[in-house]
Amino acid sequence: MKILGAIALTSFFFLPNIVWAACIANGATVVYVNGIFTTNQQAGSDLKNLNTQYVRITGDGKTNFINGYNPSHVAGLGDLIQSAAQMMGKSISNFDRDTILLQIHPQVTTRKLLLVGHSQGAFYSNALYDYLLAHGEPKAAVGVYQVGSPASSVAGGGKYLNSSGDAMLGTLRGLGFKFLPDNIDLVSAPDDAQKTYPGHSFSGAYLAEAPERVVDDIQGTLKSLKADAASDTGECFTATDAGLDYQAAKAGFAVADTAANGIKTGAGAVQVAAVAAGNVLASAVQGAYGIAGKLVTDIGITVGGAASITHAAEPKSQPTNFDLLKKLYGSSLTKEEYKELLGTLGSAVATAPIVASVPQTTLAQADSAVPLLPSSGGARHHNEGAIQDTEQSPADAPTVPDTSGTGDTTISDPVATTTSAQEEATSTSEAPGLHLAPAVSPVVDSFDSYDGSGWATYGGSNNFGSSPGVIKYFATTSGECRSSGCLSGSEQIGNGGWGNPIRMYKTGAAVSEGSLVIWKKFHYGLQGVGNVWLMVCAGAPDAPDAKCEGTGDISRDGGQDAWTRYFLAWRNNGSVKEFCHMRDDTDQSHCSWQPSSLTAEQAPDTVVISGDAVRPDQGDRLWFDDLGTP
Amino acid sequence: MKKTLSKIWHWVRWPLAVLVVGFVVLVAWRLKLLYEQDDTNAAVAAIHANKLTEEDVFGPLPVEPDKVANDATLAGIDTNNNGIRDDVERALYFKYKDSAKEAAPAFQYAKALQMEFTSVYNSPTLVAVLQEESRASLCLLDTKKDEEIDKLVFDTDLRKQARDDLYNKYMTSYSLPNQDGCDLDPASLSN
Repeated sequence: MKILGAIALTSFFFLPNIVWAACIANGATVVYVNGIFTTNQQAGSDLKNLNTQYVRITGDGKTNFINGYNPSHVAGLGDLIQSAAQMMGKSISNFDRDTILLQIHPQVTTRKLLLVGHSQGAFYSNALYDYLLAHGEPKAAVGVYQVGSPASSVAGGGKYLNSSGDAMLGTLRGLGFKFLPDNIDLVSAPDDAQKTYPGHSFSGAYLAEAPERVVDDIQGTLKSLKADAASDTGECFTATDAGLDYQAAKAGFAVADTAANGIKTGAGAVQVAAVAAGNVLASAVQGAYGIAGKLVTDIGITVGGAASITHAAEPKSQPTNFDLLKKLYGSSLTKEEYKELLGTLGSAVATAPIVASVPQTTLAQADSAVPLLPSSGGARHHNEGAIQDTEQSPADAPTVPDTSGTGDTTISDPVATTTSAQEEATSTSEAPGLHLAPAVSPVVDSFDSYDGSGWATYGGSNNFGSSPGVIKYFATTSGECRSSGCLSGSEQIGNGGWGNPIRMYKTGAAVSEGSLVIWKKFHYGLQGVGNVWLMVCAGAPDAPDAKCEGTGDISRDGGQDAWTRYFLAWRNNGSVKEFCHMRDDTDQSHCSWQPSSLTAEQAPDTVVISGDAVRPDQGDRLWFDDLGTP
Repeated sequence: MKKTLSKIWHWVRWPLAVLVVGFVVLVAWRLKLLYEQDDTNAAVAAIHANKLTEEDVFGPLPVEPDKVANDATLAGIDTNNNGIRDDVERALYFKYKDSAKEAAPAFQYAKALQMEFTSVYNSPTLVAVLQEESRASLCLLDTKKDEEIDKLVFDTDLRKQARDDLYNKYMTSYSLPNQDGCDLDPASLSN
């Protein structure tokens, strides 16, 4: 009797922790893993929208959708380090991966499992795949699908969707990172076009513009999975160990994240941190490590008794970022790695501080200022007459600007903020004996008397509708040009109201080492411009063996209605060809030379101009002028 | 023998007392958790039971609330107590007044969103509300309409901030329903 009592008592304590496991053959589970700087609310919204679109398009009500939330740490600083490491094929910690695994473990009850990773979540989807296969999941039962992916591969040979209109990916490519190529052309919707990185949002861009493609890819992947070794009683995989190390890290993050989030400057901080992320990645890829030693001590963010995180330029900045993050992420992070990964975080934070000492309104504060519920219900009115008196048209319905996006925040220009890093990087990356690129361009054209001769077009059918190859841009002397005539996106060409893109190129003399400049201007009417690139190629850009390098997406560089000059140069460094591009600067001593896919033997002979004025019928405009030499 | 036992008791009584006190504390803590769990289970059940009714769709429309009074609280004014804020209810009514089939899913989604202000106080209740929002979204089957209604409900900085704070405090992993989206069968609605 006493024994039975003891058993009952023991069960009393542990009963809530007992979970009946199953891993059934029927149905499937989709786990959505969000990207860096995605808020909790946005991650939840992404999952809901994916679920809705999937059910709408497929009618399938048997697939479970769950979120594997990838949290942000230390107001974004932890994510910067982790994402910089992941972009370089490393990972400084498994903490977030393990957190996701622990979250999803009790909810994954189907053998078929698909991991959908967006942005940085793509790296985690690959890491989760590897873990799952090593801990009980059959290879045939697990798939990976990535959206807006900066990863170099999709685990298990899965599908992915990267848009040419994804400004985040474009920025990363512009920095020289190599990853999965674009495989779709999407144009941002108006709301999304206002964001810091248009075209990158899961819900606002990919799912909004290509729901059928996303859903088809997911459905196709699910159909290819096989429910090998299903079981009505066993768990689908062995959960990761949430031991003392994990718990200690969790406790540390809880303190640091709370402190960081408590003082960061509201919604704008996320966008600012996103820009800072770009800068960090820029610094990492530029190899600007030489200055890190100074900056790491200058910059940073510190936890002062879990009470404040401030710019570490202030005297009280102890311990350093490294000390903090070392404790949080564990012993695998060395100071050298930290320096290497962060590089010029100092300049990033200095120009676009992730956090500032401006208190954020907390829920508790909001509660005290604005009660959750009215103190009284107010008078009840069921009077149709009153309705008529106060009738409000849909147009007058209460709306406010959407500040959940990124449109209203003031942030540093990602190109501009990397300048100091680039300048300092020059002194460390410049090898002795290298020379300046000469002022020679394969093609020059003032566009003053442009008639299209010599220029060709390329691109998908969507670009030119039923008139492939017809150049819709033309020279104008309207006064909008920088000098005389210029290329102008003023002609409406249709495509259902979307369009007026340029995908044009001209081939001239092969120039092994050279440089060129071109001027660009844009105007926002309704949606602005996108896919603006300047490139040089060895071979025509639509040729299968063409090699091209250029500026990356410069759609929103500079302010609208102002002419901005772009400089592109290339030179040989050993067996490879290096490229440099800058804005409003042709001084090659400011260059941060980047290796390219071109070899020294390959000589660019073609200049490519690309850009979309999305809604020229609503005033979106794009101009180019004076392609020439510096 | 008695002396030996006395000596042993002398040494073990305090550790034993600590163990007993610890056990009592653990039992009290466990009971508290169970009571809280009961409360949470009841709250979650109430959230899932908070369905849209025909009265919500076809009942009298409330008057436009005073904006200052409406924005003085996160939940705002809901004079007919149907779980949809009056200004939101009116905006949706005038947008979809020609079609109950379109209006009902919109009301259902707005009603689910409003529960973020009125029913969430821990992770299970947040998940329950998110599941109801997702169910309503499945009824709408138009994520652009989701966004429009989101903007109507979370129309002030404080409401947006409160929403972010709720998610930041209570977000966890969860699964979504993927069938039986509509509280009111569209086929039962006349137009």
